[in-house]
Amino acid sequence: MVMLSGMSARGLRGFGLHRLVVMFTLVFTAFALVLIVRLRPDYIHPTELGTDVATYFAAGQRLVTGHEIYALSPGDRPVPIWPPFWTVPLVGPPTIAVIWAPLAALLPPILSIYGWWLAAFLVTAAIFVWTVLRGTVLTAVAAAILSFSTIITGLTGNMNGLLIGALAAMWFVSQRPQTTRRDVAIGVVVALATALKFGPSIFGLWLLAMGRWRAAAAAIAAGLAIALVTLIVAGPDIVPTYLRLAADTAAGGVTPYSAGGILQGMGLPHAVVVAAPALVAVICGALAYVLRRHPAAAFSIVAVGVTFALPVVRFESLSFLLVALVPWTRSMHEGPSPTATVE
Amino acid sequence: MSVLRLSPWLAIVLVAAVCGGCSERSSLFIENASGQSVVVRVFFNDFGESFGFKVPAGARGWGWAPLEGRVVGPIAVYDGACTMTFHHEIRPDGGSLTLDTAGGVVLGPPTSQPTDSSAIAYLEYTDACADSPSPRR
Repeated sequence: MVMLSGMSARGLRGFGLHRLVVMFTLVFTAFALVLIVRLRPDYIHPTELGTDVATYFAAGQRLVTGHEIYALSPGDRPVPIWPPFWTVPLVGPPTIAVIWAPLAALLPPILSIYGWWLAAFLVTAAIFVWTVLRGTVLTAVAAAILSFSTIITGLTGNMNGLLIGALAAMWFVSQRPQTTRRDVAIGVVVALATALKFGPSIFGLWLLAMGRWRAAAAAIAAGLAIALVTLIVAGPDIVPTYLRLAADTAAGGVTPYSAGGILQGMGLPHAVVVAAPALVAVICGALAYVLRRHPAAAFSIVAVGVTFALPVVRFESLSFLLVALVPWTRSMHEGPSPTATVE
Repeated sequence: MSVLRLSPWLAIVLVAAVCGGCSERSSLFIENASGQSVVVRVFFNDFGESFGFKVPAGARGWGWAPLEGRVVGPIAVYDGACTMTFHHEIRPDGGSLTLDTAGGVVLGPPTSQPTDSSAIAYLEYTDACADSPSPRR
């Protein structure tokens, strides 16, 4: 018995703590994936009425048919609402409808919806596995904690999955020697992510805090270009409509996981709850500036802020915290993973 | 030829393979022969999220005509005061909901009628009774 326990302790030491945690996280996540698919088989039916991808498709379809983006007209594909959290068939900026319009017009729904869903799932899975394999023990443990929300994000095909991938890639590009091409790429990612979800606009403050002026300028230029295309395709009325709906959503219903929801839970006045996203942005911008000599920490702080800043933050939205873990992993240019060097 | 160059085609083949046999269509046709306007709501996977249709007395029309995507309910009928008068599971391929003159409600399989879907009106969406919880909760 003593010999056996001695052998297992030696075996554990030889195996390595990091490798053990990595294996645990991956096995745990695989079981969680099976469990979630068994509990919610609808996740593997992305064309179902009301799924995230079907909601994007429906928004694109409404745009193509000349219907309102933020309201359902007779004959539109059904999209559920949930007062007071969301009372319109599209919560985010209209850019997603503009992106989906050609997909809805040119491809059969089964191809466009499944294609997006598969891409979002693979990207989410890739970033998760990367974070586990190329990070430290702590990032692997954090990833394990985020596994359920990450699996749900991946399986729903939510745009968050693709944004997680884009922002993770942006981090690695930002750590390479600065070139015009790389700065433009970083700016485009920030602009596109902002145009899709608005919250990632806080990454613009990170660029400023880091003194990445060229990337910040590229973000502004790309943002203006995206706004112009959106205005041309969706019409100028879309801006006041979206701003009014965004204000209504911020004032009407905040979910418990959002910064506003957390402040509401603490009993703070409604005005503070409504102002929570702006407060988070200011605080994150200030912290990013304070931590400007520690780009990874500044990036992570901003990623945490982006996760909680929006009024509607669901459990699966917490998967966005994966972006905060990415700076603590090793890029491909930094040699082998800690797993390979632990002994 | 590199794998990278082939990857778009591989992706298309993969998506096509995943999609193969995944096609699931649904529709909902509603006929209200009762003398009262009602609201019909379909819940998303038994959560609080739902979409609903305003069905005036004597109206008949599509909630949605056959389209790609199954539906998971339940489905519920509300009167003018948002009191639920009927609820039932709905088939993945939708159904045909009929309110008869006596106020009875029948949820049948998706109808093949009317043959000319464009000749029949679509029902208006409504957010009335949207804050009602799912009937099963």
